[in-house]
Amino acid sequence: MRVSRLPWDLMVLLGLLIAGSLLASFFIPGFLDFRYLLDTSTLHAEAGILALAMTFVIVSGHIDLSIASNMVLSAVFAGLMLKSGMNPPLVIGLTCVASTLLGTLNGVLVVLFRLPSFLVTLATLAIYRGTAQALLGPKSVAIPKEMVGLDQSLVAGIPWPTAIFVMLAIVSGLLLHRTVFGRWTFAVGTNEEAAVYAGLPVARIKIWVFALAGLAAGICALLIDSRLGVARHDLARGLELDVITIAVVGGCAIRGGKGSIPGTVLAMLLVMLIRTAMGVANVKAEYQLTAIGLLLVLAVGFGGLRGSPRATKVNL
Amino acid sequence: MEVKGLSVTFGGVDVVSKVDLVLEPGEIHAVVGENGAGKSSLGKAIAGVYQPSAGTIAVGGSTVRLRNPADGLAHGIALIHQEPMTFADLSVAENVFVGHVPKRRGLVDWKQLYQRSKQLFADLGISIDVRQSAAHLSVAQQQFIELASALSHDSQVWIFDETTAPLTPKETSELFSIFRRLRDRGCAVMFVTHHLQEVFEVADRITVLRDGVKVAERLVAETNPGEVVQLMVGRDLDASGPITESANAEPILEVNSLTGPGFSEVSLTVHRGEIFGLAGLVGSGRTELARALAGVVRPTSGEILLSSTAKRFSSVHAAIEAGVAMVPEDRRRHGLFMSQSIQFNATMARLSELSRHGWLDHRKLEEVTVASGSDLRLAYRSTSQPVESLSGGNQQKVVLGRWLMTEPRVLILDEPTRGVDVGAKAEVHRVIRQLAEQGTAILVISSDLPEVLSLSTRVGVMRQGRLVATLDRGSATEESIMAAATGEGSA
Repeated sequence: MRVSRLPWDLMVLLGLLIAGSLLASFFIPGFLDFRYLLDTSTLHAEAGILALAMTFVIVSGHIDLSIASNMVLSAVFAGLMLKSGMNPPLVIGLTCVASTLLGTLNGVLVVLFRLPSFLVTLATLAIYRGTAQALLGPKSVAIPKEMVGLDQSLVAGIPWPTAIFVMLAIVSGLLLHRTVFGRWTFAVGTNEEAAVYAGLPVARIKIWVFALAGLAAGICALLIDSRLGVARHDLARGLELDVITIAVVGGCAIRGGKGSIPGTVLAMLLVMLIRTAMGVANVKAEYQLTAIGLLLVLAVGFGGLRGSPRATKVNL
Repeated sequence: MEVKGLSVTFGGVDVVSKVDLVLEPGEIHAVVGENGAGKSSLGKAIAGVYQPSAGTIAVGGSTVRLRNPADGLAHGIALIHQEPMTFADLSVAENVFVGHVPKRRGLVDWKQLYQRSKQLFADLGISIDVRQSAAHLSVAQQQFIELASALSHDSQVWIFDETTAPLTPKETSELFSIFRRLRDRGCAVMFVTHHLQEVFEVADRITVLRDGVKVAERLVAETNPGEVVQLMVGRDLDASGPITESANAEPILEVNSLTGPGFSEVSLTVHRGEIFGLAGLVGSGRTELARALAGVVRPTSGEILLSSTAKRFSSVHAAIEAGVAMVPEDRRRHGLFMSQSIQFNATMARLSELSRHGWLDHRKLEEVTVASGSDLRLAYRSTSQPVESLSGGNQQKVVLGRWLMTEPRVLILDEPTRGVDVGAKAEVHRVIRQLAEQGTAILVISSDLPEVLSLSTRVGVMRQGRLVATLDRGSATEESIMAAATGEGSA
């Protein structure tokens, strides 16, 4: 992409990212060490992958609050299957199928009952995590050794989770910005009624978008199982906050019709930078959470400010 | 009041450029122009809504600087909007005095409030219950509230911004008698519109704007509609002569006793190359019928035949595949993706066909968008420009272009020229006639009777969900259509 054609919200993100990195390396010596950053990136690959899928959901005018719960339920499901001695490739396949079905269920509920996705996925957020807890109770299930430690192994010098994130980012970018499906997603999010009048399969588009979110949750379930070596019901609590923050900071308009994969990728790096810098600087978890919340508010406010000249623009 | 060299600039573009204008007391001054000509912006700059980038505004000889509409009001300049905002939970009288309610010992002086607002409405010659809630008022009545409110500020300059657009003919004539009343009180009335008929009915003087520039000023008595139209568009319009009838052409669309939500037992036939006008009052079931024909809703009984084959559309997509396309009535709500680009909007109904195995073919999309734009004489800078930056007429052309891309055998147009300027209207009419000549069967729904009469080969009239009359070109007149539409007299 030629730099001159970068939309300016992406430029702002890039600027923030560079400024943030410089600032962090000034206070934390050795922060900009490439190896160190790559290692750290494995911790954030899951949030990044989920944010890619969330970009589709938000662009379509919806939201999936249940995405992290779906991931946890799928992670527990995969753990139980592995423990029962099923062969790993089958478990990988079944986990992705199951998580996709859970995502599809959200879409079907939204379409069938014409309910706001906020409420549907708020309900399934509780249901999915509740089911995980019911399955496992307070116990944790250990993941067999051969499936553990994917984050420690490299492909072309890059940790696997990060490599998967990069691949999925490219695929998502092509899907959202270069295909008919991607354009339809924008159309449904911009004006659903007009999409109906233009003859688009609106219900199917919505279900697909939620199914995609489910698939991403399945992939991340396998990644987190492998990274942690155990599956528990209380993994990744509040991860949906990070995921939605990344998407919104990346330029997704919560009312739909606006957003981009390059934006989401840059925002993922920005959130990673902030989290890592705070971690290194020994900022307590609760303050980290506050900082992420602040970032979300700032991004929404910033988006609102950007939107206002349009709102007052005249109909000549 | 006097305006000199006034310019209004948005994003580096002058939408109003160095306009001089004098609003004389006791005169009704119409400002006309196509959509996008800058007439509304001029009115809003005079009233203090917009800040001019250059030029001066003088009231009673002294130059004023208006920072907001309240400043304008303080200087006796009132702006009346097309769709005024009223507080639905307050009474009519409270709405009139909102912001300066008469008080006694810090409490609302209800007696005075009602009395004074009653007096204001009486001065305007309007009868309205000032104690009723504003929740269920018509648009016209809401405008009257704004009028009374302006009168309470003792405004001397009144700017009406396309206020007649949402009004019925009766309400419009009521508004015009208020114009005259204000003029006779010695107020200066400025009336922004693109309805020439209204201008010649009520105005004393006309200023014509084109592309933000004042191109002419005339006394109404010394000009005629033809000249004004030419001044507005800066070119000759296509002659709007009736097209030749195709009497023995084959039927393309046949509708037999079709019943559905909002309409019942409708039967009609549209032939190859025919333009069938569908008239009727708002709520008579015309739009509902169109929606059923285009596959948006399903009819409950009856049949639709296309070229003598019975069709049941399970979706809009199925209707498009069968060759039926509809340009919907409400283009902002049902037609356009406002924040998206011209190309995005123009190609949306044909996206799959314009792509390769689901991948967008940008070159092809660009090609068809540019071709469609030049067919319809769309005024635009770039196909990546968002449609919300276009004027109403150009937006309508984008929607029309989208449906022409589906190469329909039957094209349904619901109010195709509502809120569209004269130039774009002539363009839309030209395209409709051209399509008919090429053999498309066309169904035009319109509340604009002159439009229905000049376009249609036959006119169907709907009332209360039923098709109550079908008139030939010979027997269709505004009177016969209205008689059938309202059920008065024999149609």
